[in-house]
Amino acid sequence: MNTLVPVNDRACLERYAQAGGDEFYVGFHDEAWHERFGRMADLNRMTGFLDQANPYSFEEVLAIADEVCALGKKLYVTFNANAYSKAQLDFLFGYFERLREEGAAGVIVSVPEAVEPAADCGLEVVASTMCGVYNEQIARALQGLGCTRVIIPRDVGLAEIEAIMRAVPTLEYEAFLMRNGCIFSDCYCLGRHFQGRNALCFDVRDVKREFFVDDVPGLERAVRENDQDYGRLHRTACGLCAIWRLERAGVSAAKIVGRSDDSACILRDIETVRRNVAIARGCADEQEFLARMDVPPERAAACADGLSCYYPEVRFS
Amino acid sequence: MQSIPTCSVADVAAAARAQGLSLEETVERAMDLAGRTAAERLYVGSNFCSQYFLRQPMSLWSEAFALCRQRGMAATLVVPVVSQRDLASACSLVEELLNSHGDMIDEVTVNDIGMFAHCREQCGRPLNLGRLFFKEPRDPRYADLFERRHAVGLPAVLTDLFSGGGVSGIELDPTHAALDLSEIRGLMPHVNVGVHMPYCYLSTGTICEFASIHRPVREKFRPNLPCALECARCSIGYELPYGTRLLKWGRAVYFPNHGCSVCEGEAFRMIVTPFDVLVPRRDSRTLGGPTAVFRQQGHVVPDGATCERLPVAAGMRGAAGVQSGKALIGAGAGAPGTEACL
Repeated sequence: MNTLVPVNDRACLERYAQAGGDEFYVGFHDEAWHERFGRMADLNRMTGFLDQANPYSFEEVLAIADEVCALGKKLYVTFNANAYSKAQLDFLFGYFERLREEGAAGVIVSVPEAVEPAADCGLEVVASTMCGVYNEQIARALQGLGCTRVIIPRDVGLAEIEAIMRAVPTLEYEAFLMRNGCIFSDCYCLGRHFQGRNALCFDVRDVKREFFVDDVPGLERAVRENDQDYGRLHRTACGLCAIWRLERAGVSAAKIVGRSDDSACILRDIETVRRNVAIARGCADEQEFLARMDVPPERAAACADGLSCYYPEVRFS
Repeated sequence: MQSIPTCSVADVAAAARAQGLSLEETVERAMDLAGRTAAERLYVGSNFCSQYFLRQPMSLWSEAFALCRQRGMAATLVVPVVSQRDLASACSLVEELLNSHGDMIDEVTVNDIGMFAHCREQCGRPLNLGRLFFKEPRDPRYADLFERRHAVGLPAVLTDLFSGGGVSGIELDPTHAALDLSEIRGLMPHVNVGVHMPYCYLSTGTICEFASIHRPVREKFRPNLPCALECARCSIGYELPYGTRLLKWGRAVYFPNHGCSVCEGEAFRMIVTPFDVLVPRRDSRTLGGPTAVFRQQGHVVPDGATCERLPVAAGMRGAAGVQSGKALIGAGAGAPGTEACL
């Protein structure tokens, strides 16, 4: 299982690779896009976070593709906005062609209608988590369009990941492993991301609310207590405990999220993942892995109740 | 412009029953609040939740189709995005419903490309692309995004993916203060356009807060958790600091948009979901408030001429608990009156 790493800091590429980053992904900003489609038009899901999440221009990403190639690694470029118009899709095609020429391995796309144009350019096409691959039917349909890999949404459990992979074994799969959980579906959350504003998932947990509850004894109290726990869900997220099962299932890449995160944290996560993948490969079974795995102290503090776990079923079945 | 009145009890039929309402009463009240005397079509099933789809009691399915028969309404079977674990069961249920109520179900709404491919081969019914196919920009927290007349473009999914046909209808949400359907109706007159009213879906996912109510903390909030339809007995309203109201119902989060105008084009289906029958109505104050968020200058306030909108029913504006069987709990009880979006 490869480690997939965000290019949040170009200067760290070599260090990331040395630490164990096998594959890289990046988004970009482009003034030409905004001139054509307006300031509100998203080129990717994090366009609203401006330079914080997409620090590089398209020209710089082309250079990054070159650098990643020189390191013997793969670069995937993300086009994962919620939606694209027909005119925007046509515009993307220009990016795809140049990325292929500069040696990018592939693109990550969010809508099925972008798959074929990208594949026609000779790029590997990865179905983003925004494609909502929640079952084998959807995986099969995307493969039929030309996808070579799908990213399983972060709100899918291990047993379902394994079942999808068994049902469609000819696809590559990527799973979320480190950082930035979410209470909603990436694919179906249409709340906008803007720099300096809360994402929707934070707003709904931190604001005034009223509970509409049927008159059932004890229900109101149970709903309130449950809501308090819900407020603690996925403030951060980690899936280290699932490495043995993901590796055994044949997942191609473990995703470290964090296009807008601190480089030192990303580096630490790469090292942690690589260390635990190596441990998993030497273990005969899951129990042995869980006994031997290395959980960093800063992560361990969040392990107690499963609310910061991508795959809590491993520890808390 | 005319709208064709229809009603959706998808995702809410179980809640109506929990409140002691028959589907007939629920539909009547919903259409009354929408200013219509009757619905011509009933949407049954779920837009968002495979657990709801599988767990809605068979007696409720039967009640819905019996109501259709009695009132001469056509029925649309609504199928959500189904999690892997539920896929076989969901496909079986679709087949079973089409076999047992096939005389009433004259079309199926699907919400993902996998189920579309399956139903195209197996169902023998016209297919609609449901609201999860259409991700028109929306977010009522940003006034300059919301307060405009939004021209609904021809979705690329239709031109590029389904250009070979097979789609008989599409379902949209009331994403903005006004929707302009002229382009889409002009270019695709053969496609039925439905607009969900009066709440716009904003977010959803497979993690259901309510399904975890009775579970220990370490077992809470797992994706696609089996449930006992707890969503039929509780929901949550949110009041954001800048006046936006949201409603969490089941797995989905919506914002109220009772003032949405639908403009131009040919007739469309107004698909009314009876949330206002089941929970107290709360309207957003997006425009004009001191804390309204305008990200850009020059936002456009919509022109309501030649548009159709849901009426604000007498006595409903900001009235807590009107026609609702829910107890109202929490700091928002008795909140000051709110006003319609426009």
